[in-house]
Amino acid sequence: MAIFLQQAITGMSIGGIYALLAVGYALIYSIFDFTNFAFGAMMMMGSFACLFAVNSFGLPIWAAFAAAVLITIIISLATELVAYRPMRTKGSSRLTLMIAAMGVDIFIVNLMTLIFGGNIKQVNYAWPIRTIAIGPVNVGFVDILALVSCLVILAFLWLFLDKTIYGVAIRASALDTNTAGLMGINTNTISFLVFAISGLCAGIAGFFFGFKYAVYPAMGGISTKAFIASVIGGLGSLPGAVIGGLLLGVLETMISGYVSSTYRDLFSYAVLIIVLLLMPNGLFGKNSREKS
Amino acid sequence: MKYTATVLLLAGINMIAVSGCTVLTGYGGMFSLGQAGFMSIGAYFAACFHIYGHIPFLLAVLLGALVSTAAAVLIGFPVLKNKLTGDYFAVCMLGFGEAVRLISANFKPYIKGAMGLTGIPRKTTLTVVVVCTLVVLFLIRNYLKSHYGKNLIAIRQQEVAAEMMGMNIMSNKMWALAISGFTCGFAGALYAFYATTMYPTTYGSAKSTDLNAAVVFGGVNSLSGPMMAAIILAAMPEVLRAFAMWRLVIYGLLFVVIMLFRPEGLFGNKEIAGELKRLWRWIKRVWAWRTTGRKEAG
Amino acid sequence: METKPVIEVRNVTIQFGSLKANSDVSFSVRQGELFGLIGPNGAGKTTMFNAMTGSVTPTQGDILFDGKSVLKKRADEICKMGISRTYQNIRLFPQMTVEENVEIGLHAVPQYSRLAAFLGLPVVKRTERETKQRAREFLNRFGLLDKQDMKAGSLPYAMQRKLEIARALATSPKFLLLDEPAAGMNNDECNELVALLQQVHQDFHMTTLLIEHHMDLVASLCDKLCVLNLGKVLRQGTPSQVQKDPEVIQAYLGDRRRKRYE
Repeated sequence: MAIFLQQAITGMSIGGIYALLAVGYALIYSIFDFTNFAFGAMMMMGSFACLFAVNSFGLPIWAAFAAAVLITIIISLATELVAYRPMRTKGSSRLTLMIAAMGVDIFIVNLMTLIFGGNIKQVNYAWPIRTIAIGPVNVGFVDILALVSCLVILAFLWLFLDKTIYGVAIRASALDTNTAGLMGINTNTISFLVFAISGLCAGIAGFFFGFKYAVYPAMGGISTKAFIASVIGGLGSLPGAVIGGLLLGVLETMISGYVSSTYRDLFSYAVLIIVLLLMPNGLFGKNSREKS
Repeated sequence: MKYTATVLLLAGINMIAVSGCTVLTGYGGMFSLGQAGFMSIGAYFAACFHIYGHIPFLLAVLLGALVSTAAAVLIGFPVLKNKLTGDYFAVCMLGFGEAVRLISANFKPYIKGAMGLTGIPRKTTLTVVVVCTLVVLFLIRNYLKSHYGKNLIAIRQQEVAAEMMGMNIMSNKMWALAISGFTCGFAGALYAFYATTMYPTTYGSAKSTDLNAAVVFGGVNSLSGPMMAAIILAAMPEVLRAFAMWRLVIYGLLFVVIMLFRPEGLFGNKEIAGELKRLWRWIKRVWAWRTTGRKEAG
Repeated sequence: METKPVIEVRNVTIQFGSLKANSDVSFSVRQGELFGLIGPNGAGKTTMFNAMTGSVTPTQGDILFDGKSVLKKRADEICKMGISRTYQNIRLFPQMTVEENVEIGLHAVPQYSRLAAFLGLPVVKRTERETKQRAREFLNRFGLLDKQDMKAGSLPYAMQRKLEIARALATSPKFLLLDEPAAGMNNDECNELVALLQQVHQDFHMTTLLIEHHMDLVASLCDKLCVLNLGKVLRQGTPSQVQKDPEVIQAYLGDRRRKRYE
C-alpha cells in the first residue's frame, strides 16, 4: 500500500509537468489550430538556463527559476514574432506552419547538441530537504514541490482565464478567432499573451524536469507525452489537458513500477493509438474534423 | 573513383527512400516524423531473412520492404480512420518510429537488441543500386503522373470536395502511406547490406528529418525536385565534413526560411522534363532573335 | 401520370446537443424536377444538404435517393449513387488549373487499376487524352474554355461558381445539389446563372435540388419549393403558391425582393 501511494505521488508529480506542458500546447492549439512542435525545445532551453544559472553563475535557486522562465518566454515570443505570425498573416496552410514549427525545433535542439554535447548534465544544487514523510511513505521533496507548483500555476492560469479581461478575450478567441477579431479583440495582443503564457508553462516544466531527471538537448522529446496527454484530455481543451497530464503521469509510473520501465514509453504510444481509435476527441475536446 | 561510386550508391539509396516520401508528403500532404521506422523494419527483416532464413539477397530485401509496407498499413489504419488533422498523423508516426527503436533495442533474439546486428554480408553494389533506383523511379513516376497522383493532390488541396466527387480518401491515403513504407523499407534494407551492420539507432529521428528535408526543399507536386534534393543531400555530407556535422541545424533553419518565403519548395510544381523544354524554347527564341537582329543590321 | 420521387426526405430531425437544426422535415423531389429549398438564414438548409451528402447523420428519420438510404454512407459512396454537389463557400481546387478541376471530376473514381498506373500501361495515356477532351467539352459548354490554363483560385467569383457547377456535372450525376449558387452575385450575374441552370436542366434532364435566398432566382427557376424556417417545414408547393402564403411572407419579413411579385 505504501509503495502504491509513493508511486501515485511520484506519478502525480511527473503528471503535473505533463499537465503544464499539455496546457501550453492546448492554449495555442485552441486559438490558432496549431500544434507548436517547437514546444519541447523551449522547455529544454529553460532547463539549460537553470543549469547555467546554478552551475556556472552560482545564483540562488529562485533566480535560476526566474532565469528558466524568462529565457523560455523570450524564445517563445521570438518564434511567434519572427516565424509564426508572419505566416499566419500570409495565410499559410496548416502544413506549412507545422513544418516551420518543426524547423524551429530541429534548429534549436541540434544547435544545442553541437554546442554543448548530447550528454546529460545535472544541476549542482542540493535541496535543503531531500524527502518528506507523509504517513508511511517517504516522498521526494522535489516531487512534492513540482506537483504543488504545477497545481498552483494551473490554478492561477484558470483564475486568469476565467476572471480577468485578458483571460476572457483569450477564451473568446479560442471559441471563434474571427468573430473575436471582429468584436475588437486585437489578435496580435492575444497571440503575444498566449505565447508568453505558453512559454511560462514550458519554463516551469523545464525547471522541474531538469531537477527530477537531468538536463540534455534532446529532453524536449518529453513534449510528445504532453501531446498524448492533450489528446487524452481532448486537443484544445484546457481542463482536459490538465486531467490528461495527471492521468498519463500516474498511469505511466504505475506501469513503470509494476510492469516494466523499459516499455513505459511504448505504453504511452499504445494509449495514444487506443484513444485515437475509440475516442478521437478525447475526454473534453472540440471536434477535430472539418466542417462542410 | 571508388569515392564517387560510394557517393552515387548512397545517393541512389536516398532517392529510393525519398521517392516514397514524395508520394506521401509532397503529393499527399501527410507529414510523417517516423519514416525512419520503416527503414529500420525493412533493414532488420531483410537481414534476418537472409542470415537466418538463407533467402537470397534481393528476395530478402524485397520481403523486408513488404514487411515494412505491412507495418505502414497497420499503423495507418487507426491513425487515418477518423480523419483527424495532420498534427495527429505526424505525432503518431513519431511514436511509431520511437516504438520501433525501443522494441529493436530490447529484442535480443535474432537481432541482438542494442548490441546490433553485425556480419551482414556486403551484397549491395553500385550496379544493384542503380538498377533498383531506376526501377523504383519508373514505378513511382508513372503512379504520380496517373490520375492517382492527381487525386492525391486534390485530396491535399480540398479534401471535403475531393471525397464528394467520388474519391475514397482512406484508400488513397493508405496507398500513399504503404508506398512510402515500401520504398523506405527497401532503401533501408539495401543500405544494411552495404554497411554490414544494423543498430536500433541507425535510422533515428535524424534520418526522418533527412528524408523530410529532401521533400520540403525539393518541393510539392514534383518528383524531380525531391530527387535532385535527395542526390545533393546525400552527397554533401560526404563531400563536406563540416556539412555533415551542421546539416541538421541548417535543415531546421531552412525549413523555417522556405516556409516563410517559398512554401511550395524550391522546385515545387515543376519537373525537370518541363523545365528543360522551357529552357530549350527560350534558347531557340533568343537564337532566332539574335540571327534576325544580325540580318537586319547587316 | 405521377413520376416517382427520386429524392425522399422522411421525417428528418438533426440535433446537435441541445440545438435542433432540423425538426421532422419531410419533402420529396420528382424525376427531372428543379426543386428549391429556401428559407431565412439559420433555417437549417445547409444542414439538410450536409445530411444528404454524408457529412452529418440525422438523429432521426431517413433520406433516400432512388429508394436507397444515404444514412451511414461515406461521401464518396454517396457520390457513386449519383449525387453531386456544390458548396456555399466554393470548394474548388485553388492551385489547380480550370481544366484540371474539371478533370478531377472525371477521374475521381479511378478509371484504371493501380497496377496499370504503376506500369504506365497504354490505357493510362489513352484515358488521359479522353479525359482532357471531355473536360474541354465541359469548359466549352460553360464558356470557360479560354480560361482553361488559369489557376482556379484566380478566377472572378462568378466564374468560380460556374466552374464548380461544371466540375459537379463532370461526375455524371443523376441528382445535382447546389448550395446557394447565387451567393455573392449581382443582378446581372444572377440572370446569367438562371439561364445557365435552365440550360443545364434542359440539356442533362438533371434532377436538381437548390438552396437559395434570392427569391427572384428561385421563383423564375424552380418547379417546386419547400420553405424551411427554424428547422421546420413551413410550406411546400409551386413558387406562386408559396409566395402568397402569409406565414412565408412573415418569415421573410424585411426581404424587399419579394415585393416584386405581389
